[in-house]
Amino acid sequence: MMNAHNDLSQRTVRRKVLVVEDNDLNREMLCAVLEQQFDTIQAQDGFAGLDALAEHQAELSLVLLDVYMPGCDGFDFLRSMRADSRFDTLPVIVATASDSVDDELLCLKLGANDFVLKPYNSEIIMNRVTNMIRLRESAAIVNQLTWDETTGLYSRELFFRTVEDFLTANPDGEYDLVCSDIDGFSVLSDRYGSENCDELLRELARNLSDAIPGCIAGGRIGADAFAFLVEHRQAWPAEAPQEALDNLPVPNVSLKFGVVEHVDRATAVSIACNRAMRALETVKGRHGLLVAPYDDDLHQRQELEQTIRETMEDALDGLQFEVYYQPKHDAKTGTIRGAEALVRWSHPTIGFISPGLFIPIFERNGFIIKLDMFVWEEACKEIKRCEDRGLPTIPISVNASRLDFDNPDLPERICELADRHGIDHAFLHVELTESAYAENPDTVVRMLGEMKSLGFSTELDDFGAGYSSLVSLNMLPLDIMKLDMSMVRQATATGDFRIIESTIKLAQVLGLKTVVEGIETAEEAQRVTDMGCDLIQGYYYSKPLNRDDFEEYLKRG
Amino acid sequence: MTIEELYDRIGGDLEGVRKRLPSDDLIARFIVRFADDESCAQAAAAWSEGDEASAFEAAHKAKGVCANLGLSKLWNIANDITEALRPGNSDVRATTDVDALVKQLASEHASTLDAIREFSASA
Repeated sequence: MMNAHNDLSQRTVRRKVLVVEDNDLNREMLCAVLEQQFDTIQAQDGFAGLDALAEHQAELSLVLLDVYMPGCDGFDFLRSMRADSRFDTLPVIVATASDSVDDELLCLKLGANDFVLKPYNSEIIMNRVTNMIRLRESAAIVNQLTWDETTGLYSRELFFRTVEDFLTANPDGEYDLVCSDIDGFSVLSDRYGSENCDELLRELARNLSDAIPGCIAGGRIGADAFAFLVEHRQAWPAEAPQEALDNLPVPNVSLKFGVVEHVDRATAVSIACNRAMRALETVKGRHGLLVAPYDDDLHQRQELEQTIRETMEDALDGLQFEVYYQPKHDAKTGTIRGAEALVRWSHPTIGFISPGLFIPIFERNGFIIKLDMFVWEEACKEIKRCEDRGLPTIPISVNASRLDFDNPDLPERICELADRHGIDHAFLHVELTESAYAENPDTVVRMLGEMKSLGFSTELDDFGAGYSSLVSLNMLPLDIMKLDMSMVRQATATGDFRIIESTIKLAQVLGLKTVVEGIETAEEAQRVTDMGCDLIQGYYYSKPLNRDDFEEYLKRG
Repeated sequence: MTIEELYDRIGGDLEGVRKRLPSDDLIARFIVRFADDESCAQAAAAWSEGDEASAFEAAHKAKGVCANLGLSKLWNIANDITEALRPGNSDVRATTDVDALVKQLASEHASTLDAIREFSASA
């Protein structure tokens, strides 16, 4: 099938043009012009033209057509020609007199591609003909890519079209769309070379076509991505069969699959493929031949994520983000000693969006930098307001994300912000997580040192969650360690507080104050206080409060 | 007779033809072939037979050939006939003496052919 297309690179022969014109002299003059570069076939009217089309179809590159001819004129010729799919891609240039706009319009409707005006101008004709042939031949090159030569599957576009046609032709069938791709293909390609990886793709395409039950059509929709339309299956297994990996030229191949069940005919196949690929993303990086369905949950989550990305800028301008303050209390005396600034998003249509949802997105797309700056500024304003209202002034800590540390001006910017609002630097604390440190330790150490020397206190957030490193404790210029709430949850669940106790001891040895987060009960508060914890943050004292409630809280003392 | 002299004599636009055909040799070849072109004669014949539709088609064709060969004088006459006989142009027709034009076409055609034969003989 692939060989049916002409190999253009080898087509150095002169292109052939069919000239249909009844007047011998005009036709021969036209041919004399064309023959500078092209071979010509002549036809003295529309009927002869149609005969010549049928006879020379394979070798023709273009038709040059006169409109007025006895018998079968240019319009009739176009009608007959365009009704025959064999000539779909053969371009027609119509020669018309300058006084016949109506003729041109009719010819266009009938499928003519271009016009030349009579009397003929040699240069213009040659240009028009050459350009039209070139245009058609580049389109033919594109059309050549309809089959993927490596795998023998459909190319991306043709797969979409084929599946759409199939779905239309089978309106009652139930079908699923399966997409798969190879984990770390670029690494494989780097290590084993493109020839082996082409072989890998070929074998995989064959294996998958066989291994996936009810497979109807397969396409290669990306460098290492396949898509298959299959008959609907009641229950997709969570793992694909190992046979998919038989006889591969490259070891340790790992495939993931995303499935869209009951392909919806109202949804473009390309979109269905995207959805299957997104389902697949959810199991990427995990071991095995895992299969992930695209379901309503995933759909809604991704819709929400998209909405978040689309509306975040407006939300910031429209003050949909609000800073809440969660008090930190002195463990021994119960006096309020500080607060953590936490951002909340009340979306006008969605309502409350959890920071757990939007923060990771903003960390990926960089918007977190703007949002953090907003929180810094709000915190400054709040400290100022408390001062102005004669409320107890306490330090407010603000979270800095990993991306904030990409900007070497961060300490300077926060300093400038604090000074602009007339805030004593001692009232601003920066909280960072270890992940920020892990990415770029030297920079973070240096910038944190700068902030400390400017008078801001530094807090290490979420200690004990994830992969805490004791080395980072030694390296980072810190004032305070915050024990993650998961440590308290676990200690309460098991009744074993030994890890909390030793962590507090460790902090003390390093000269760090401690904050225990997630304290919900008097008993928990008592236990960590007895262990020497300095500050307590959690629902036992207060949930995060909006500005008014926070100020009320401060007023009560 | 040179091609320039020929075009001078028949009132033609040689420069225009040189844009259409790649060489003077080809121009010479086709101008000689013009002697065989029947469109002018067909126009006159159809008109004398009262076949206006055929006369229009032939005049239209003659106009096209003359344009291609830069035969400006003939083209002008053929054009006037075409416009007078073009379906829908009854207003032009009413103010045009087609008989006279057709006669003019025939005599201009004849003298053009004379010149071309002389040119052909001298080549």
